[in-house]
Amino acid sequence: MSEILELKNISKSYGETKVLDNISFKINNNEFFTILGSSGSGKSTIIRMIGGFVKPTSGQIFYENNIINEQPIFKRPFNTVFQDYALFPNMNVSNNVGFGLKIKNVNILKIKEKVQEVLQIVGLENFSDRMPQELSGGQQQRVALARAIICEPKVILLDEPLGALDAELRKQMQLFLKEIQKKIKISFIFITHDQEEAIFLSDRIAVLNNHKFEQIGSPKDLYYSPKTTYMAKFFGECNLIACKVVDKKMDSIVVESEFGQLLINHSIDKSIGDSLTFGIRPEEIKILDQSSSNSIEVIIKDVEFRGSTSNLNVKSQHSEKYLKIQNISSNISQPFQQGDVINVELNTGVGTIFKDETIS
Amino acid sequence: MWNLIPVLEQYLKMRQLVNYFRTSIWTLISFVLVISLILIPLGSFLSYSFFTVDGTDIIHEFSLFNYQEFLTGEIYIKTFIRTILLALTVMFICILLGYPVAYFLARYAGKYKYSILLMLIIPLFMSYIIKIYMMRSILGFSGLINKVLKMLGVIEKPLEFFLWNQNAVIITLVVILLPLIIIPTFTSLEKIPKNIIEASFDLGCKPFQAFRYVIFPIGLPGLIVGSIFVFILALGDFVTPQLVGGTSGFTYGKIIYSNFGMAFNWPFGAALASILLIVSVIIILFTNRLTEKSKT
Repeated sequence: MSEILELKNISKSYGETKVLDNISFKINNNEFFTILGSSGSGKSTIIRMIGGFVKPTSGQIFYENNIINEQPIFKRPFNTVFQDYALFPNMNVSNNVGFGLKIKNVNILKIKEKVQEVLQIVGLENFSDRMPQELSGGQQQRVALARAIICEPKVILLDEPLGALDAELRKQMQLFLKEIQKKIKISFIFITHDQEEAIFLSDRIAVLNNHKFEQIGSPKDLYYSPKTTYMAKFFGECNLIACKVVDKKMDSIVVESEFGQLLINHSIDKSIGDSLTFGIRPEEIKILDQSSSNSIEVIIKDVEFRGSTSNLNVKSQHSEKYLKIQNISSNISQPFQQGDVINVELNTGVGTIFKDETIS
Repeated sequence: MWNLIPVLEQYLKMRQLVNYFRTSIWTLISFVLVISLILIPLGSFLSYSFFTVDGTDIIHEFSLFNYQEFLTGEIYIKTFIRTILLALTVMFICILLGYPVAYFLARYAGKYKYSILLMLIIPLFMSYIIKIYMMRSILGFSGLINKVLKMLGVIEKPLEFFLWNQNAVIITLVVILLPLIIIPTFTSLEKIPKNIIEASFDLGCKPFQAFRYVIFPIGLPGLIVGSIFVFILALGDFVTPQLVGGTSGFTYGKIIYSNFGMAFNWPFGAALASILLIVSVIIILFTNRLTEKSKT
């Protein structure tokens, strides 16, 4: 995959307020790239910079290896789908969609043909004479998308385009976006604060936190190998256990934790006496009938019955520390009651060792 | 319990009836207001235009005499057309001066825009007569402009270009009516969401193209409303020509005024005013159609 767009050491501040702090990333051809962050995290600023509406305070934006920091908006080969669609209220659907071509002085018949073609892609071929105000939110969204893709940009920037839609429509539009992106083969840079949406849609996700990228990677990468404890808790649940290394073997270490001694099946560059944070997903903890060499004893705090499966909250025998255990077959959890002592084993092979020692 | 349902039904019917009366009373009141305050005066006005006068007496008999007089008396039609042209001139000058101001205010004045707008509105609170006198003292022979030009040695004799003629009427009307075009234009330009303008740039518009295809058409209704205000007010105005127009600044409004005020020929005045009203309404309807069209 070849890369098409690169942001290098980009920072942006408004006066004293820092919005983005030295971020860098690359976008590949035909990629669905999502920037995920809470509101106010500066994610919109990133695509507004790519679009040319905002200038970075420092850093460079490269398009096909040329710096485009100073290029005016109308010369950039990108198109934006705005959060609230920003359709022109004085034009009907086909004029809205054809606008970008009209500005480029494309032949009128050619425009007509293209508009029909694009409206067909977004499923609005029967709405070409409607005014934007006469369309529903989802339909307006499709027009906005059609208006962007007709210009055949190299990248389409989508600024929380699904934010204003209700849950049902949102699901439909997600499917639709994913399909369309595959069909037209244009890179999408998509902004959202919705994790599920990001996981469902994206080839890669960049998680923005504290003005910086916490991690960039495929949805699976982010879930299975989070780089920081923030990331571990960001996607799904994760038990974070503070540990101290007490013994080191060939491909594993023994640590002392609030839950007792654990054998972690990782070869890791730590020496005895070092402390670390061990993260494990709640579904990677197994309940045993009897104690084994690597099991720990915990006290049941409560059982959440969820139909076929149950979740357990258990407490350490040595401290006030809790562990979450998820997706236990309800057949197994049925006899459990608060206060029972059970043996559990952590599937430490799939856990993650974090270098940062403070648990956030 | 068994008889509760019919009672309830009765009650609901009553409620419906009461509600019906309540809404119909309000409808009635609004109709009465419109009829008594607008339609009846207009009607009596229109009917007066079909009467004639004999000396100072009004003869209450149907006659088309006044309209005949208008169509045959060359001076009336001439003045009417000249007044329409005058009003159009005032309107176009107001557009040329007002639109850039409204545009600048809406797009570039930032946080100062409302304070600047307020300054433009303040003259509207001032008496109209005072403003005309003010313009007189600026435009007159010994007025501000002539004095300054004389002091600078540009002219020796005071210019007569500015007072007691049509130019004076145009300048004064423009000064007085300018805020009326700025305010609605500003409002409609200011309402354009920022991201719609951004979208036009995003789709490849250069600044002028964004103005031509997006900002101007979307802001057009405000400009049209303002233009109609200015046109109609300039068309019917009779005080300005009276006070700064001299003899050559004779307008249609002034003829109507003199028929009511000096000649005591109310029926003819009413006929002239009816013609003005009908033409004004036609112009409003026509521009309305135009805006409707520009939307599609």
